Formats: sequence, C-alpha cells, structure tokens
Amino acid sequence: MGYIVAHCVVALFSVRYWPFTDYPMFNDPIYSDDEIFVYKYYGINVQGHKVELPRNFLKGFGIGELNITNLYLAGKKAQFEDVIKDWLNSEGKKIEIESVQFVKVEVKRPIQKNLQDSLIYSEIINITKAKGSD
Amino acid sequence: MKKLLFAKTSPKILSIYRVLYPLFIIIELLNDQYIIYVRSNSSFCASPLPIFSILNIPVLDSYYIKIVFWSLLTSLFLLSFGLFTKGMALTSMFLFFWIIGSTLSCTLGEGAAYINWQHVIVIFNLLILAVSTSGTLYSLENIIFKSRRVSNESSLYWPIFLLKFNLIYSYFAGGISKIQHGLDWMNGYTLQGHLLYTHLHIGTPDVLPFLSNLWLLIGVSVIVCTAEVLAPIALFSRTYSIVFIIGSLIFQVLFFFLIDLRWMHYFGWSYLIYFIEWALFYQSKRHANKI
Repeated sequence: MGYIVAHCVVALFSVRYWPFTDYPMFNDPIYSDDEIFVYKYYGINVQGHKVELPRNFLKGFGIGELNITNLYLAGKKAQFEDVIKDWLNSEGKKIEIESVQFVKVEVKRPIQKNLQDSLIYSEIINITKAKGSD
Repeated sequence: MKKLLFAKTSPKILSIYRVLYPLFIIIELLNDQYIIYVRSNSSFCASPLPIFSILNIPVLDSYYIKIVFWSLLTSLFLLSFGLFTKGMALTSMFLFFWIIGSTLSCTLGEGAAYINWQHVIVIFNLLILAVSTSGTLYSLENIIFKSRRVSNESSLYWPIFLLKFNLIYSYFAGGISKIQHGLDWMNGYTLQGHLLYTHLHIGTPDVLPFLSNLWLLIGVSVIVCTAEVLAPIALFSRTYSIVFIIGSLIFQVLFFFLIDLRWMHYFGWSYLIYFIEWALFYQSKRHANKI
C-alpha cells in the first residue's frame, strides 16, 4: 500500500526527481501566441549548395547535435564554434562540406496549409572550415 | 483493496514474466543508441543527475560503463534463468539505475532526462521482482534446490497488481501532470505545438495533414487526457483493462508512425504482465470447457 501511496504522491505533486517522476508526456501547455522554434544545422559545399545536416552529423543519434546546441544556448559560443570547426576539419571532409550554418527555424501562427509558408529561417552563425586543413 | 492484493493466484503468471521480461530488457540494452554512443566516447558527461551526488554514486565514464553494461546483462540473464532470483533482480535494478542514470545525465542533462522517462518503469518492475517470489517456477534454483515448494505466498496477487500498477501509473501520472494547468492542455495548440516541434526537429511528414486541423487536435487531446486520468479503473475492471491496454497500444503505435515516438522502448515490455495473464486465463478457460 505504501508503494502505491508514494507513487500517487509523486504524481499529484508533480515531483521530478529521476527516477521518481510524474512521467512527463509532453505535458506543458502551449498557447496560440507561444513561440515555437527549433535549431537546425545546414552544411554548404564548395558549389554553395545548402543541405540540412542529419541529426547525427556529430555522431551519436542526435546527442552530439543536442550537446553543441546546449553549448550555444549556455552562452559558450567559442566552445560551440570549436566543436563544429573540429568536425569540419575531420569528419566534414567525407561529405564535402565547406561550412556549417546554425539556423533558427520559427513557426508563424496560424499555421498555413503549406507549412513552408509558416516558417521563418534566421541564420545565427556561419562556421567555415579552417584554411589548409585539406 | 487488501482482499484484492492478498488474493491467491497462479504462480505461473509472475514466473513467466520473470523469465521473459529480463530477456526483452537485454535486447533493448543491446540496441540502445545512447548507451552505444556513451560506450564509444571517452569524455561525454555534461551534467550528472542530482540523485548521483546525493547518494554519492560516481557517474560512469566510458571505460566503467562497459564493465557495468556486461555485468548488467549477466545479472539479467541469471534473473531470467532463475538463479539467485531475488539477488539478481536487486543487482539488475541497481546496475540499470546506474548505467541509465549515467547515460541520460551525460548525454541529455537533467531537464531532458525527465522527458526520457521510459526507462524508469524498468527500475520499479525489477524492484517488484526482487521483493516477490518470482522464482517459484521455471527457475534453475528450483531445479537445483529441489526441496523448495510452491508456497502460499508465491501465489499471492500483490506482485502482479504492483506490476500492473507501474504501467497504469505511468499514464495516470502523465494525465495528472497535464490537468494541473486546468484544461489548457486540451486547447489544441498544445498538441499542435508538440507535433510541430517534433516535425521540425526530426522530420515527420505524416503528421503534416493534422497540424492545421485545430478541432481534430482538440478532440485527440480530450481523449488522451480523459483516458490517462481514468487509467486506474483498469486496475479493478477486467473489461476496462482490455479497452485501456489495447487503446494505449494503438495510441503508441499511431504516434510511433506519426512522430517517431519511441516510448515503447523499455516501457513497452511492461505490457507483458497483462498479456501473460490473459493468455493463461484463456488457456484455463479452454481447459475448463474441455472438462
């Protein structure tokens, strides 16, 4: 009984202390005027073609991407740039990318039938491969 | 309630669960991309979860994580085979806590670790196996130590009830945390926002037709919230439990295809307790009809 009561207390008071949690399943409400945005990475090749980099472009199931986005958000911009530069000068060569653009994608409400019409792209930072690294 | 918890039941249900559940967790662990990533990266830790510093447990680095990983697989195997069942369930619980806690805190950080909640239920399910007599049947220790007999305690219903409770609780707690903000979660914009965010983040084209239909989003939100808050009824009503279990599985599969929602990893195997119980109930009913 104690086990059941303890769990219910965690749920009712919305405790979040891993591994004791209220099981947050997308539970924060979002309102019509709330800003919705994501950060994305684009690679630009020598010909100037732009391609969205896969989430695992720094290896590891999007974890590398998440970690460096966190670096940027935490204000550690120099560290953020170093990580991408290192990648550009090593792994980046394999997919012939010359520079990486860090882009914020915002959604304009109300959402249009064609979602692309609701998206606003803003380039945040452009990181170029170090000269002579080939 | 007391009558329900201490009712007698077949020891087969819990024993079959003990055999199968650890094996499925082993499969999950071997395919866990986060663990594979951490095992191959030497310095990865960003922000350990607070429970690690409070309990003074070191966060595993990539060298030790390999050792703990193989120890965990071994203990889960032994638990499944039924050797030192209680000890192995407890060991598995602690090692699972250690490895998943380290992996989550170091790859995602504290905030995102709570969103990745699907592992939590494994810790509590292993705890239930550790404190119950799940090794009564189909276990090596039963063969080796033949003197052991099926006791009355082994056929008590409470461990099965608590395993079911763990599953139902996860939905109930999710529902409660949604209605804590009143009815705002069901405004349609919430579901739209979460679906949109996932679509932009990982690219899920199948969700696009739903995004601009606000009334459909409101309808789905109301169904989700109501079903989650009423989930505990499934613990006491067989009919409702069938509706709820099948319904929640359909929900999980639908959202897997729509937004690549991967909550069924680890979490999904908790449904086993219901399926084993239903299968045995069906079998005994057929047997009774034959007689």
